Amino acid sequence: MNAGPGWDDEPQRPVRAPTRAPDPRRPPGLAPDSGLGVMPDAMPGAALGPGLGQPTEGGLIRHGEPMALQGPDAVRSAGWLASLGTLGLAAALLVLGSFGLWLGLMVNDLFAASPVLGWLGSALGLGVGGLLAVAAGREWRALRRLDSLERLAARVRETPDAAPPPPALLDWAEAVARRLPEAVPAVATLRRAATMAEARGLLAAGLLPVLDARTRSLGGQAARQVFLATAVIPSPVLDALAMGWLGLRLMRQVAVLHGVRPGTLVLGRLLRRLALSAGLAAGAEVVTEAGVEQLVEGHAAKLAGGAAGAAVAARRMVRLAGATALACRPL
Amino acid sequence: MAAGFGLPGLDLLGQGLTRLTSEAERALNETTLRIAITGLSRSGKTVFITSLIANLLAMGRGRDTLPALRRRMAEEGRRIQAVRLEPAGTQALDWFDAADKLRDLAGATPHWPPRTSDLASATLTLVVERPGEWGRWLPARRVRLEILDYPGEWLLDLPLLDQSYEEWSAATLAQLRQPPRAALAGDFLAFLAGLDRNAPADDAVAKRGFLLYRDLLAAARDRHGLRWLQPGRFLVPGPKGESPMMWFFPLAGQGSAGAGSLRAALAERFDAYRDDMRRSYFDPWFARFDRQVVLVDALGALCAGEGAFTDARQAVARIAQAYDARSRSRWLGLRTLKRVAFVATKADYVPQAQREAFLGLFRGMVGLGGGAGDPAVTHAALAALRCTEEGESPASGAPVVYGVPMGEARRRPFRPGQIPPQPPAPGDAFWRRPYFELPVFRPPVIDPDGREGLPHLEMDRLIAWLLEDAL
Repeated sequence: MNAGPGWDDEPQRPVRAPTRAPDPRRPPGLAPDSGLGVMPDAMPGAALGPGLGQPTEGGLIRHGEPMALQGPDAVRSAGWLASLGTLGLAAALLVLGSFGLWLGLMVNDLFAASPVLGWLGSALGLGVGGLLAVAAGREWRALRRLDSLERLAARVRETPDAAPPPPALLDWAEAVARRLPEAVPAVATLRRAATMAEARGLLAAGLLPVLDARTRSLGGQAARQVFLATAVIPSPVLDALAMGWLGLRLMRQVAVLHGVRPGTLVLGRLLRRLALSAGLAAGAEVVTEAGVEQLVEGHAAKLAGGAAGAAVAARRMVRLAGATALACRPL
Repeated sequence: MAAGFGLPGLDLLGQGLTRLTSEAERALNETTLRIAITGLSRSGKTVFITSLIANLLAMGRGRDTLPALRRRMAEEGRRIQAVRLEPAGTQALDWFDAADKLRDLAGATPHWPPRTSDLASATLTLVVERPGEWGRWLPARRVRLEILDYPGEWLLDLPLLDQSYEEWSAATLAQLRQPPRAALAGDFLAFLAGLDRNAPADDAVAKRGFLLYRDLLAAARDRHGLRWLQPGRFLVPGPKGESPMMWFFPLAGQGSAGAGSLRAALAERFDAYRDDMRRSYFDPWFARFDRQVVLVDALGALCAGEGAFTDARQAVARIAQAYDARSRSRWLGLRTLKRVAFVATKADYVPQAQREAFLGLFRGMVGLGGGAGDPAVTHAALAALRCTEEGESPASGAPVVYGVPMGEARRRPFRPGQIPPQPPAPGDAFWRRPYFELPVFRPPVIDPDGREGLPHLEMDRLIAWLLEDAL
């Protein structure tokens, strides 16, 4: 970050008034620039008071632009999750490499046994490799989609209220409407927004409520399943597994609803965003609500037994749906 | 997003939890600061608020518009993540439309915002990252800044709340007999001289006196640049307009006025006016401030002469006292006002080389303040929108500023003349300078969308000082 002034022509420190030798042509006793009818700029002198001079060269006043601030350091937020990511990559490379080597040896053995078996083995290897490439391609496309959503979020954040909305925002809204027919009228209205403030208002009043309703419905569905699972399953370990699986499935559903391709890596990034982005309103809410719910759960359990715990667990699904929805939106 | 499980009992539990957690979250993560941007009329309150909002919003969008604030926060490992202008909601006041003001300043024919005629407010929310390694695992803090704009003339009614009609009349008439008001008050004083002290109440006489007194106030403002002009609503009536309640004027007299007399009627109207101001404006909107910024057009007052300078000085002192007295918490009466900044506006009319003297003069003008138990006080000279550039006089090379006067397209050099580092003593030769009205410079070329904020002078240092303990 720069340490200088934000406006590039802002003076940093007082400028000493330039000293000049007295003008020998000036009549004695007349203050410099006295402006008593003899000065070219016709300004009254400093001793006599303020004055406005004659027009000079130079048009309207234009100042420089303020510098752009850098966002938070990306490396700082990586932390131990980045180490886990590297570990995961290493594990994946180990598994895939071992599999490739094993496949090569196996094909070699098959060719040694019979060319037909060798070709069959090669076809099998190519098929598996192709499927892996398709899966990798899908992951890559999903990550690109999430990247473009993040770029759009940055554009939206930088667009002042009075400026026109970025076209990418309308493209995103149309992509949502393609999957959600009830959002079509809201998107049609959004297209006519002249300013970002108007677009923001129309999104909040039209498209987002439709998305919210569908997200709530998905969250409610998952909440009912979790409620039943938590109430019925006797083992806490199985409870946690059921909640994890239902939670991931819910995140995928909400991501699809918002036009995000739900690849494995994308889900990982979404999870990381939910965990790390304390700046998000959802993140803030999750942290505070969790604390309060623990208190409530403890007291309610005395009255309602396991049902209170199940209700709180179910409610977390609704909140997870809401938080995922916020993470998948450009604003 | 509201919870919904589809089961009535669970929904009820969910709603209760939502309300509880929402309140708990707000208590933990949200701070609200009420900032009083105060100042006499034409001291630049509206432009100051517009600049404050535009620069904070631009900062939230990643522009370094307030470098001193950014540096101050960086020292403590904090950062403003986002800045939002809160929606108007259901507020009863007018909405302070900063975008509209910005369009006024940046349009094809730019102009300064018109005189404020009613209350308007805006609320900004600053989302602030918590410091330290653990900070990023905690939710960000929200600091809400509630800002109020209002006609500067009304501010002068604040000291009226603690005065009786008799006290106000005596003080006002004493002032009217002193220069420079005495030169304008001839008609009004002649009218008073013709009134019998125990004259019966008569609306025609009351209205005639009111009109004479109101014209006198307007002339004092427009011809001599005076600012201590009470009552303020005589000059800016506001949305309620002019009403019979305002048909009063200062009239000398001691002791209780006789029933049915003109003085009794005027005193009743004075009380009604004062109560209306208290009920409609001061009690709901002018109380319990956490920060106060007192804007003063010190250069304009200096150029307008000794009378205007002394007048502005008195007005600033009385207003600051009145605000402090009203900034008490509702229940325990504790002082809520923590920081007060006295700000000389239009610093961009003063070349950099003279700004130190200008600040010294301003300090001497408003006093130092800051006694034990008082709020922290600072003095600043700034320009909320910088509309000049530094330069040298084409003839002598002396430091001047260049600005484009309104209605013109070419820049002209402007020199504020000698600026003494301390206020000149009464009767000093300095005051023999003729009355000079500061030129109105055209705003600089700025982005009408406010993408880059507004160029300013020293605004960032002031905001950093005002908010440093809250961010």
